[in-house]
Formats: sequence, C-alpha cells, structure tokens
Amino acid sequence: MEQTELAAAACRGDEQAFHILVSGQQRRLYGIAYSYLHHEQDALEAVQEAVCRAWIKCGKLKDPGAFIPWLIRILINCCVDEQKRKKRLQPLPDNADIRSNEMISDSKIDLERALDRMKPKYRHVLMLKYYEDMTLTEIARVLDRPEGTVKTWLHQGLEQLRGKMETGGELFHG
Amino acid sequence: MVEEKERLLEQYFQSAAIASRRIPEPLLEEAVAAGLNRGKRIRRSRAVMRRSAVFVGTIAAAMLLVIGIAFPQAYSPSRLSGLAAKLMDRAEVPDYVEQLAGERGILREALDDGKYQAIERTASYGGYQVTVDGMLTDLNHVVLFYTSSGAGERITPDSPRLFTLGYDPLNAVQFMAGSQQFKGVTEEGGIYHDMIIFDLPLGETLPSEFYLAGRWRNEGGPVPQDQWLEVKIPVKANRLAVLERVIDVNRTLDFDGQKIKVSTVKQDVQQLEITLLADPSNDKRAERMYGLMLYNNRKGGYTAYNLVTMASNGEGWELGYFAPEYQRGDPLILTGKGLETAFEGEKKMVINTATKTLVQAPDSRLKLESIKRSGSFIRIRTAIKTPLQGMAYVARPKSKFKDANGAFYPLPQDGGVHEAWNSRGEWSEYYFDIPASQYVQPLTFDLRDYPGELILQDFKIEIK
Repeated sequence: MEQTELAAAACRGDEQAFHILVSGQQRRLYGIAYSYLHHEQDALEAVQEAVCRAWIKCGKLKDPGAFIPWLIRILINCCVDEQKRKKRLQPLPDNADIRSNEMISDSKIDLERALDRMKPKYRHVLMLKYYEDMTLTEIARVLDRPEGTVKTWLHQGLEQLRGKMETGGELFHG
Repeated sequence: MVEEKERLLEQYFQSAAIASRRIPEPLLEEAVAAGLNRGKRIRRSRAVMRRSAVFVGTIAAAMLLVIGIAFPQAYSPSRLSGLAAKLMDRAEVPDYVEQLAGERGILREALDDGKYQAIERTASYGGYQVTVDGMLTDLNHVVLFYTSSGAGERITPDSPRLFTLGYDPLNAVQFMAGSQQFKGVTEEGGIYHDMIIFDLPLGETLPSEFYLAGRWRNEGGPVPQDQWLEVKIPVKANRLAVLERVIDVNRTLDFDGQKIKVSTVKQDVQQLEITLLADPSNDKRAERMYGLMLYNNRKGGYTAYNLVTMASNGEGWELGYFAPEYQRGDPLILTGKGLETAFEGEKKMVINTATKTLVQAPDSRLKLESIKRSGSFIRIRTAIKTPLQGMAYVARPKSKFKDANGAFYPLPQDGGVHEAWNSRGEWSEYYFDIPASQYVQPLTFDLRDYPGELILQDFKIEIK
C-alpha cells in the first residue's frame, strides 16, 4: 500500500497500517526527538509518547495525506513538553551536580544556550530546515502554518540566533 | 554572518543525525510498540467509558420512567439525575487524566477505584484561562488536573499555592522532581493539560474547600507575561483516595561500627521515599551512603529508580526516588557500596597564587595541580586522591575568599562556567576561577565541600 493509503487505513483504526506507517518513520522520529532532548532515553520516551498520542487522535485527522507532518508536529510538542519538564528540575545538593559535570566545548554549549533561549517556533523551523533538510513547503505542513510565515520565522530565527549568541557572555570551560 | 550560523546549525544537528544512525533497531521498535500499546489502552478505556455512560444513562432513564409511572408522587427529576450523575461519575475522567495517571502506580489505582473527583471550576482573566478539571486527594496529598490556555500560548503556573477560604496559606509543598516527572499534554492553540501535586506536612490536612492560586505564566513569549488566577475547589470527603503507603523495613547496616538503619519506604503520589537513620552511638558523622541504588525487582528484572529529592536532618536522610509506576506488592531491592563519613578536620585551604604554592590543606590528600591565567580570571586546579576511580572528591570553596589582610572577594558570579570536576584515574580533579587581580598573598579559601572517609562495604536489602 502507498503511504497515503496506509495513512487513510490508520485513520480508520487499522492498527497494522498505523504500525507499518510509524515504524517506517521511527528512526527519523528518534532523530528529531534527539535534536531537542540530546538524551537517548528521553528521545525514546518522546517517540513513545508521540506514537501514543497519534494513535489516540488519528481518527480525527481530516487529511490522511498529512499524516507524517502531523505525526512530527505531535512529536515536537512532546519534546517541548519534555524540555519544559527538565526546566522544572529541582537540583540535588551540590555534590550531585559535580558528579554529573563534564568538560564541554564552548561552541556547542553556546549554540545550545542560544537555541534554548529562542522562542519555540523559531527553533522548530531551524531544526526542520537544518536537521531534517525540509523545504519551506514541507515545514509549513508540519507546523500547519502558511509558507510565508515559515519563511519569515526562518529568517527571524537566524537573526535571533546571531543576536543571542553575541550577547551570551564569555564562557570558560576546561 | 547568517551563512556562518547556518553552517554552525548543520554541525550542531549532526549529533542528532549520528545518534539516529546508532540507535539499535530493537529500542526503536520497543518505543513504537509501547506507545501504540499505551494508545490502544487509552482508546479502549475511553470506549468503555462511553459505553458505560450510554448504558448507565439508559438505565437511569429507564428507572426514571418506571418510577414515574409506578410512583408518580415520588417522582423527583433532580434526585434521579443526581443518581445518574453519581453512577456516571467514572465517565467524567478526561482522556488526558487517564494518560497522566499511566498504566501502573498509586494514581492508576486511585482512578481505577473511582476516586477521581470532578471539579470543573474555571478562572479567567485577560485572555488567560485555567480550569481545574478534577482532583485526587487523601487530604494529605492533592493531585490537581488542569487545562490551561492563554491567548494561543501555553500557560503554566509559577509557584502555585493552596489557600484556605480565609486566604491563609496552607503549608502544602508542590512536588517537583526530575525530567521524568509529569507527562503534560499539549494541544493545538496553546491548550495544555497537566497536573500539580501538593503534599501537606505531617499532621495537617486539606480543608473541605480551598483555593488554588498563583501566577500563570506564558513561557513562550520573549517577555513572559503572567496573570494571577485563583480557583476555588471543594473536596468530596466521601471520595478520598489512598495516596500514601508505608512499608516497614527496619534493617540495620554496620559499617565498621557505624550503624545505619533502613527504617521505612514510603510510597506517595510520585515517589518512593526511603528513611535512613544514623545510630546515635556512632562516633563518626555519617555524610551519605555511597553507591545507593533502588530497584524494582518485578518479574525478576532490575528497573532502577532515579533519586530526585534528598533531605537530611543530622539524624538521617530521606531519599526520594521517582517511581510513579511503582505498584503495591512490587518487590524492591536496595543496594549500596558503603558509607561516607563527614570530614572532621578544618575545611580550609590556603594558596599563594603568586608563587603557585599550596600553603595549607585540610589533609595530605589534596594537591595543587596548577594555577594559570584564563582571560580575566585565574584558574586554580586542585586534585584529591580517591579510594575508587571515578569518585567526585572536590575541595570546593565557599562563595567568598580572603587575602592576607582579611579583605574578602567574591568568586565570579557572571553566569559563566567557572568550575568543573573531572576524574583522572585515581585522582579527582577540580578547578575554579577567581577574578585576576593583585592580591595580598596568601589567599584563604573556606571550603563548603571536602570529602571525609569512605567505608567500603557492599550491601543488598530485599524489601517486600
């Protein structure tokens, strides 16, 4: 079956079609989740959560042709939720912090911090463009926004990244 | 400049590309299968709820008809609809609550026991809206399930609190844990569902009605906006859940004469809390247990729980492990490798940064590795010999140090990274920065951390 046929069947409640469709994307989904969470277990959990939500809601999807962008959108929401949970982390006593410290490179943490400070919509566009290598049309389908809006977000995201990295302050690492 | 950022971004996302190539197929398959199974379970439970609602509704209507015909004088629509509502109460559990409660654990048990209390109270102001959909409580613990939205952006509470109807704050503490704690659900248009958990201190209970109040914050905007919202919540005293259980352990461990009792394991809403007590006869102050791990031994497997909270009161510790899916009866295994006692000497080191010498150390284990200029800072690198490889032994200074004249200087507080630890074989290395300046030498650093003695002894306790 073609992807659209599979998606249509999945939306009608065909579990096997849903499984085939999602399994075919599982490595891609994991990569997207990893690009947000940078942690194997967290990324796997985000994939699991996205699959769960997708199965619950797929009956309501009006356009089966948009199944994959829709699935990626759900996954991105899961990752954003997970990132938010991480921000709520209550730190353990100081010693435990030290135990988990590692020497990390300047440029990676600098960019990571800049992305972290950025509004989520800009980050989504940058990730889909520079990690997933999607076209603006494809990104627009994932984010369910007009192509022009996505183009603006991409431009503004890059500009913001420049601004935030330049105002990030001097960092020192071992 | 934009091209440079594009190149950096591509490099940045390479780690995800590599990770996605390396992840073993079975792990991905397992994640997809587990997600699908959970989704199926939720859909099934939703379908059962719908069928139950229809069935109960039909029965209620039939009863209404029969009673209306047989006993017209006793006909009371409000009483009967109340009965139907009571019978249909299970149908009021929203899908996201089912999702947040997971498949196992004390929340799942409470939901399955029909202890969910529908609240459905809303507060709104300035485009922000919060509805407390429902609650689970035993009067000592409160789990509030909410739906929020704020002008298209997701809003969440910032330090929410509980108040009495007279606006006296309750001493309820919000439970916060690590990254695995909540499974909030985001929908299109900034609609967000999540739960807030509060624990009341021992001896205090929830009143029959209370307020949830706090600032609800839009975190997505460049400048977060917030609104103060409060929701009045009634408690149904006849629908209290079991949200806490205590397992007595009472096992004493002996580390070269230093005794530690594993007293109890308490299960509450999201965690398992182990209470460890140091024996008053100990002649050394116990600092922490070394290598402590808590496992769920269900079906013979070893699922490790993450330590998320730690409290110490001088007599012992309470260690909280994040275990929302722990179910009554699951066997637990507590293992450890030893006991660390507190350092009893003077926690102070004196360093001459001009001559690069260590003038005074807490003991002979500490050595000065190097002192180097690093930008506008001086980087001081020390090392401590460890009894085991990979241990984080650090001589970590307090936030201020003093020169030979007694003048105090703060450590850098500019948001940058000015300290780090690293393990090198049997040496534990640590560096910290001080501002580069001409100091009257030597400099004295009072230490907030310095390792004591490690008494190595493996132990394993089975808890049932």
